[in-house]
Amino acid sequence: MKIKSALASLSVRVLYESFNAEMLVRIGKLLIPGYDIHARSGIPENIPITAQTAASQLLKDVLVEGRYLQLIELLLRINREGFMGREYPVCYLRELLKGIAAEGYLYDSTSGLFMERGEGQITPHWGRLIEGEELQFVLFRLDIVQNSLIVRDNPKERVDQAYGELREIVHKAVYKRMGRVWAWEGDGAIGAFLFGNKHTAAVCAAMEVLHELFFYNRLSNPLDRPLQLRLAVHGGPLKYSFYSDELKRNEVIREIGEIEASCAKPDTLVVSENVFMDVDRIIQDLFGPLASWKGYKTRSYSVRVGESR
Amino acid sequence: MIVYVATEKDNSCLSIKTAKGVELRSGPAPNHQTVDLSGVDILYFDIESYPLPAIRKVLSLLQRREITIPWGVLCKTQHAEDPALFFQEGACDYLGPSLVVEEGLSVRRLKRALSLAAYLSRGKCSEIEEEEMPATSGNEGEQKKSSPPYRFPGWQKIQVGRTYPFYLVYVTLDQQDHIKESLGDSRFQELRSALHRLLTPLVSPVDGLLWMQRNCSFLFLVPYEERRISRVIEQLLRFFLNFPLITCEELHLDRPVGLIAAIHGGELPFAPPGQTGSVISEAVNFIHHLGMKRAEVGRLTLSAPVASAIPATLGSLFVSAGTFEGYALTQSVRFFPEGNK
Repeated sequence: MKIKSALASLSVRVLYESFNAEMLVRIGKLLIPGYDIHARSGIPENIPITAQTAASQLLKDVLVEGRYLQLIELLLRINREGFMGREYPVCYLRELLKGIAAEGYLYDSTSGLFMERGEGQITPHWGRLIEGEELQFVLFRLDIVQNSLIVRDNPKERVDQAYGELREIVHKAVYKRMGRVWAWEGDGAIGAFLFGNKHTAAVCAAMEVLHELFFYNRLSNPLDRPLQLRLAVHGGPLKYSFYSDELKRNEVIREIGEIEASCAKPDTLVVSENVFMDVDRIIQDLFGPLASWKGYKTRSYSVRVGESR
Repeated sequence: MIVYVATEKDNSCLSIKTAKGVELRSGPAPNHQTVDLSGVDILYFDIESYPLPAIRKVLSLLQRREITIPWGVLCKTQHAEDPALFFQEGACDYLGPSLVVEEGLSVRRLKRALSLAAYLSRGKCSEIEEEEMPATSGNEGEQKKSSPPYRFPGWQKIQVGRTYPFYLVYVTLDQQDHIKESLGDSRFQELRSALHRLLTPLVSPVDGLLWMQRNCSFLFLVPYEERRISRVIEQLLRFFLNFPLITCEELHLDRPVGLIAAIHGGELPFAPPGQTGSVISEAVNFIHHLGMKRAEVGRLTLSAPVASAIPATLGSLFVSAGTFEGYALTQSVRFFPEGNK
């Protein structure tokens, strides 16, 4: 990530006015495994480094490693919670957040992470994830039921139209909740949520897709049959990668695939219990009872209509 | 006379015998803008290509594009299981295998179909008008029957004090006193603002106007054109289905609240929003009575003048709900019924 020189100067000032050189090296080690300020700066180990020099070097190094936002997130956490039982008030934080906002990033206080503002280009990594960064994600997966039959029995332009409209429905539901769609394959998609109340956001996005499809099938579906989906929401730790093959090696992605394929019926959303526990109560009340399959505990939801209260 | 046969089969319509003066065209159903229906007098669906649900979708799309065309169905090899179903959906003709293959299409036959379509459409209009004004004098009712369909002139041309027909859309939260008590005044005001922000986009695309508001109860006026209120009906149904998500994510409430909505159509003397205190109107009284006394939580309630605007493909989501103060009512089904998890 590149930042403007004014923000870089402010960041250095924040670092050396808030921490001594020793603490700055510790911060460097938390961000960059095996961080050695002497090796990086070329200053011999027997010569003491001033806080100002350490701050300049640390900033230079985190920028090279693409970890500038992670540095500021760490400063915010230290300011809030202290470090190793000691308080460290960090100065000029307000100005720092303003400068970062001007670079196009927003701070999400729920997750304690920065994300791209999303006004221009929307990137799958929220403009901030780096290769191998491990975080707790909530994932969303959908699969089009009987995709091959739909493709076989309908003219190509109608299939393209319907699938294009489905993409719009999914993107709208996911993006407005700060989620990202990572991949569209022939008959499905995978998306991710990291910010805000990510558990509720992922579940609500999936529910909204089902709701929109309920009306789409009645009002404008050009296919010869209703478009049906199987949806799943599941969460866990995931090492981010820019490469989809690498991303798919994550256990949590394999698990959500299994949950979706085995536990979700057509027109149904299945949510794993680890996500469900953190979903707002008002949404939880709409789900069915706990079900178990091969060690997965899930709850399911589908659109229901009726006369009774 | 031009007949368009919507079919997926190539050249299938060529085997239909036609009399002189009948021009036959065929192709896919007019789902897309590319199918040109200009000049076509009647549209026939080949039910071997388009079963009833598919026909409903096409009709709904045409309705959205504001295209009204008489339509019928034909089957070349086998009779439909229940031909009456098509007539219940608004068809004006049914051509069975013997007619398609042996007898063919005569001008007389087509004229009879078209006059049935005209009769059905007239019946629909007069039915609306009769139900719309049960308390008005006979003269006013007759005047309306003979007048052309109402066209909204635009809000700029609406004059204060003059009477115009409108759809009245009432939306309210149930048990507001209880909600206010549990939230406190300032939080309740936030709730009211949030609802205002969420409801306005449902009616603004059809030129709807927020006319009256009291706490979390809203009364919108929508110009009296069926296509406009059809869109509002669709949007309100979506709102009901999404209401649990809205309650959680937009209204930031931690427990469910009940939503009530009702629509009525009638005439009223126009007054600008904020100056409605002196308006005396049977329609305004009725919509308030309907919304407060009869409409049920979680359902959209429509009075008779509005029922005909339910989009054809959403018809299965509505049921008849008896009468209230002389008007027949229709209600949407309930989403998330209890005991059906």
